Amino acid sequence: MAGEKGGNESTECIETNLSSEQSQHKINLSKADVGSSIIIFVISVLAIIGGTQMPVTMTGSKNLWYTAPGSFPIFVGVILAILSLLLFIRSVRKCGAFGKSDLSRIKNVLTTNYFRRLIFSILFLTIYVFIFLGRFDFVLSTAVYLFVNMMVFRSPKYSILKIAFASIIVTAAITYGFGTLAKIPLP
Amino acid sequence: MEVLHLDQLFLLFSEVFQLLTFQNIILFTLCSAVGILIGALPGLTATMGIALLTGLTYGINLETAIIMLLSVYVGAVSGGSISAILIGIPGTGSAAATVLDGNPLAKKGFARVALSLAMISSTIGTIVGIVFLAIFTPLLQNVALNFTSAEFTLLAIFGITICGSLTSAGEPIKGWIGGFIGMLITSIGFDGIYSFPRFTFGIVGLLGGIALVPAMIGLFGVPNLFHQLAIGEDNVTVEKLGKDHGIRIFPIIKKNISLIIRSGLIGSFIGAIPGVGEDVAAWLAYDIGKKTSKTPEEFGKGSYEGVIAAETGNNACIGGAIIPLLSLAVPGSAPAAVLLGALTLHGIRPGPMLPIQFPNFIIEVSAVLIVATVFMRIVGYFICQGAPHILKLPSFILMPVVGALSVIGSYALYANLFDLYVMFFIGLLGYAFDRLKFPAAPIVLGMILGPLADNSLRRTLMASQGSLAPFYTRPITIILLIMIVFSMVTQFPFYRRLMSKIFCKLKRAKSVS
Repeated sequence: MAGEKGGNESTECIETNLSSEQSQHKINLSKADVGSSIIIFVISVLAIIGGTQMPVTMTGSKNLWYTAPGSFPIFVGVILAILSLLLFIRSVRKCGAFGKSDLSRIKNVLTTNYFRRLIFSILFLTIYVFIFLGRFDFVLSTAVYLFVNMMVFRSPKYSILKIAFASIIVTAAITYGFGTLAKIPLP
Repeated sequence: MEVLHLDQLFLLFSEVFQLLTFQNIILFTLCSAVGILIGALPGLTATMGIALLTGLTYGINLETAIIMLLSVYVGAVSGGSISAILIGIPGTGSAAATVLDGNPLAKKGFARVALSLAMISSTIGTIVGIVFLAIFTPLLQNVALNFTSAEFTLLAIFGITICGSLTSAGEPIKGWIGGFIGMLITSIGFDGIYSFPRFTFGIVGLLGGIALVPAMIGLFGVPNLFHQLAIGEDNVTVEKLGKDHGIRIFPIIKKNISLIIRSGLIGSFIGAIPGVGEDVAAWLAYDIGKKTSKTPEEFGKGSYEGVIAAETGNNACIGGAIIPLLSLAVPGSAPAAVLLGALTLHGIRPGPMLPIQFPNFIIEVSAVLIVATVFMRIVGYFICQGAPHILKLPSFILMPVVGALSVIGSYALYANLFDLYVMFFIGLLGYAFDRLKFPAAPIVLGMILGPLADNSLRRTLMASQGSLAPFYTRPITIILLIMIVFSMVTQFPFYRRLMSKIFCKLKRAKSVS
């Protein structure tokens, strides 16, 4: 990893026509690009390795490496590796690599209301897709999913009764509209 | 292949009248309304709407499916202006430029005027795009008949590079990475030549590859769902419609006819570039409208020209985006990409062979677009009256419904639970990319162009026995190579510095002479 820059790293990245909040956001994005470029580089290397492990000789073709199933993943993997390296270099040059201050910033993000709500929304969709659907009745699964989501994320001026009513009506409308009228298969 | 002839014009009008059956009128009305509402509600996008609808139209006949999808497309692109004007938040990305002048107009009490201008500009813009579509698609199909595997390989790569360059707001590397990630995703499953299973890891569900429609719903619907629920309570101010203040719309339109034509041409041209889409079309039309205006200082403060330019540009892009879709099977925008998936599902294979297999398809699509545009205008007028109430619908009610619809849309195609898992995981990936500012359009384009690039590249090398000569010895391949290099090089700072040095020197030389 490139060496850390000190506390002056923010000033080097700030563009004069941006507010400090916008500048900080840009810095954070550049630092996130360092991480994402590494992940993408690893994926591209795995794709290249995967491609090389696929058979080169297929029925009817002798040693024609360019027709092998692995040639395209290798081709794309190489391009992705180059692009991710360019992104890494550009991001590190722009705003340096991760430092201790970034770790504490990440910790702060994890405790925000936004992040909590995000985890809940992902969790509910996960339970709906992986646990409810295919095992329980679609109508029941969807009604529960809608009700729980609306209850957790609702504004206080909406009562539980209104939420329950809305989730039942919407589920009934979706099931009748798509399943019965349009004859679309429902999970 | 000829450009639109008189007999084809007659056929076009005949198709338009044939479409006006009672059932179709109901369909156009309903689907235009759905499209406008999808466009008007922030958090829902035209791409998502079409992606959800695609799976639902699977068992329906082709004509009905085309009517539904194109009505929603046209409605959604124009519907974005409603929330842009009334709450200052674009309902779709294509209406972002409309906010700049539409919302200030609404704040001054001219919301009704702004909405009327937006709707009429959208109508005219779509018509300009349709004219482009009808004229240029046959021409491009004629050119595409000369394409071999080498040309298709380079076309696929060009699609990624130009889309990545134009959609990633100053970070073209991210656009290109997204495009090639999309291509890598399509490597999963049986390969197109030997049917060898690639990257399946023993999972049976992956043998068929990643299904396009669930992936698109995951990429465009799920990240929005997560984000809108996470940001929480909607604290938006919805402006009142107000009165029309005695302002007549048609004189304004007449006064700005050159602006409308210019914005329409810009939108259509941008639409024809692979994967770029309505957002860029709107911004470019707005930007050029401002630069050529006699009152550029009014832009951003409630200029009629600003609303007209943005809305004409983004709607003209619809017809433009369908040009490469039908002629080359390369979509010109993200909604067009989903449309490609829908057409393939219904047995239509866009490309140079389309006029042979379906001789009047371009005329039929043009006719549907014309009727959809008219209905968008009529239905849009009524929806605008109720818009302030519709826009008050909170996201905590709307977004879970989007989740349920995403599930139905992903499952409807093949009744396969595995597609739901694809939708979910691609949705997580899409959310991460969205937060990291990797644009989604190149990823989608990569997924569509991946099989084309894969099979074409290997077929070219098979035919040339490993030689790369076909990629640089044929006239069209040379042009495509130049376009690929140009689309990448122009994004780098050294090129911009070089160009500004050259322009400065030229300016100095001109002032001296």
